[in-house]
Amino acid sequence: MTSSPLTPEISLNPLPQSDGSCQYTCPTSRTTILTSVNGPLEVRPKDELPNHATIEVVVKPGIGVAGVRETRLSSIIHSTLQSLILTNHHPRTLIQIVAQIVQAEDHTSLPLLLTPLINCTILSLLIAGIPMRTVGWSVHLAVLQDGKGVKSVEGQTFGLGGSGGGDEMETEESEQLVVRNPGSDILSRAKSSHTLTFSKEGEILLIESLEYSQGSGGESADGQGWDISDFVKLAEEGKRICCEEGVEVIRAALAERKAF
Amino acid sequence: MSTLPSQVSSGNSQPPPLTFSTSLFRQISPALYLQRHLLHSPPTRPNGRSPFQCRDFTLTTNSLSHAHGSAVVRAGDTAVVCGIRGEILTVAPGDDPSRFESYHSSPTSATHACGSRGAGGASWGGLIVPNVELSTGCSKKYPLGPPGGLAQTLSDQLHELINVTKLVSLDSLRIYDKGSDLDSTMKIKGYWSLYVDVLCISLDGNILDAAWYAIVAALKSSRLPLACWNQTEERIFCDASLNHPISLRQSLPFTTTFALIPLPNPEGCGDEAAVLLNDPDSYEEDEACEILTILSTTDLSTVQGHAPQSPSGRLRTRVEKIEKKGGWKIGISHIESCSHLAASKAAQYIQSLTKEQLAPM
Repeated sequence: MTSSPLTPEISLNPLPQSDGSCQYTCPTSRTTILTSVNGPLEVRPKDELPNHATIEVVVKPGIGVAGVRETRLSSIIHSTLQSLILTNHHPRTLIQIVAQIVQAEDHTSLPLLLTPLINCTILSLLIAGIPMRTVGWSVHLAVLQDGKGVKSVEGQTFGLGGSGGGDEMETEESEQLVVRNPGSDILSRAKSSHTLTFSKEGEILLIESLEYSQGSGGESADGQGWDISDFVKLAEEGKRICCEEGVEVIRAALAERKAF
Repeated sequence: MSTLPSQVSSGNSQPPPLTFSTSLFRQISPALYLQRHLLHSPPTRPNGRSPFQCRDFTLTTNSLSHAHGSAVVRAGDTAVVCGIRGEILTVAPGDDPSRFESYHSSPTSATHACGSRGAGGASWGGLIVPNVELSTGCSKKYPLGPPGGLAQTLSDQLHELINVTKLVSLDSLRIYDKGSDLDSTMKIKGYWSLYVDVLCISLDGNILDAAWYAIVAALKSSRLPLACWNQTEERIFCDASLNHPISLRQSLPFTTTFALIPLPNPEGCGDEAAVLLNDPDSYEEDEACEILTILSTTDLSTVQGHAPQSPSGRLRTRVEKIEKKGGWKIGISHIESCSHLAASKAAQYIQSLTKEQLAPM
């Protein structure tokens, strides 16, 4: 498992003082995230919920002080975890999650950061022993129009079959290439980017899909976008990666830990 | 001491039935109140709409006299004002204009923009700067103070939307030196930088759709002064009259937001039921466990009543963004059906935009 070039580097409990922590390095884009989870803690009276635990997510940037982008990242992670953590098991408490971006190719890019942040957070929640409904795994897929000159690790790319719907106008789009967890150089050439998070059972936890229109804006950007049937195919592929490989990665990472 | 007689009396007689007025029920148990409404057949929301019905909206453009373009959008009790103000960004001699037009760098956080701003310029994203302000008293939940999480997230989302949809044609933001015979990139002497300010007057759910619609309408109605480079003075001069429109895309993209409300399953077995609500208000948003936003465009020719291009008669839709946050109950089939609804709503938006007399100021 560890020999595969697509397996992330995971180090569990690098911070011995926190209840659970994890350092995660994306195998291809080399984005490194360090998260720490503490909880259940005492909650500030302002944030106390009578029959649920309060979840607090803080994303700390790799450069400078936190801004608008970090606030958005933490709100996305917060809403994803809200449905994973069984918050009614610890009412009137606080579960605090701090995620530090250690290394990233592009510190402003939301899709490049989101997948490692979610995976790392879920692993550290497992280590901290926070009760969760299920586990999830996130994957970032970039769709490229053509695969010319794309430097990728073996197994990182796969083709997406001809776009469905039987629309004759779209047959030339059948040679689309999908890259898993792309770096910033591949993402800058991508046609669209999809961050998909699935639970172990195959439920969709989070979708952040974006079209990157080409051209200098205005009328040249008309007619971009994708058909919904293309998205369904991509989501199926993402589900397969998350439910089979992602769960396997979590299992292998936790198996190395002898005792909790 | 005084409680004793009442206990005795309640033991003897029938306990009084626990009834509330509707308004009290609505406040003390919002989840149950909403579920009871949605379990009716046909399901009706507390506000009288059916699950897939969106609120009627009104649009007024160019009501602010000091802005270059403005729009007021009201959908139900959500009211949003958007103002566009253009400022001139001069390209210093020796600056490479191509740096202003890089597509994929989208620095938003002020600290992170040092890469491009430190060099003295702005990227494509830097030319259009959206900001969202939730005015004091727009909703009970957002008290006075610095911009909270929602306002910041919205600003970033709108910035991302402007960037990825490439809504504005970059060419209409360039200021050229008309007189010189240099090649086209050397003729660029400056840019229009657009400040897009969105002020939420009243917030009753689904602010993203309203804000995005206001931005598109305001940009479409904007008229900038005609600016050109004066060679003798070596400065950019503006004509007093406002007659330079900002050219937008032909097929305008619009967002549609859905909220998923969980329903209890009477049998207590199998999957829990849930219902998707189009255009949720804030009461429904508070109870929603999942929010789905779809950005889609619809072919203009089909909207205007010409023969539909696809044989099935459906509107030809292109999805440009899907965002789903929280929860786990929305499946692929939901997303597919919602994308069709989003297409018809986008068509509705486009029709109202063309109907609105976008008269120059």
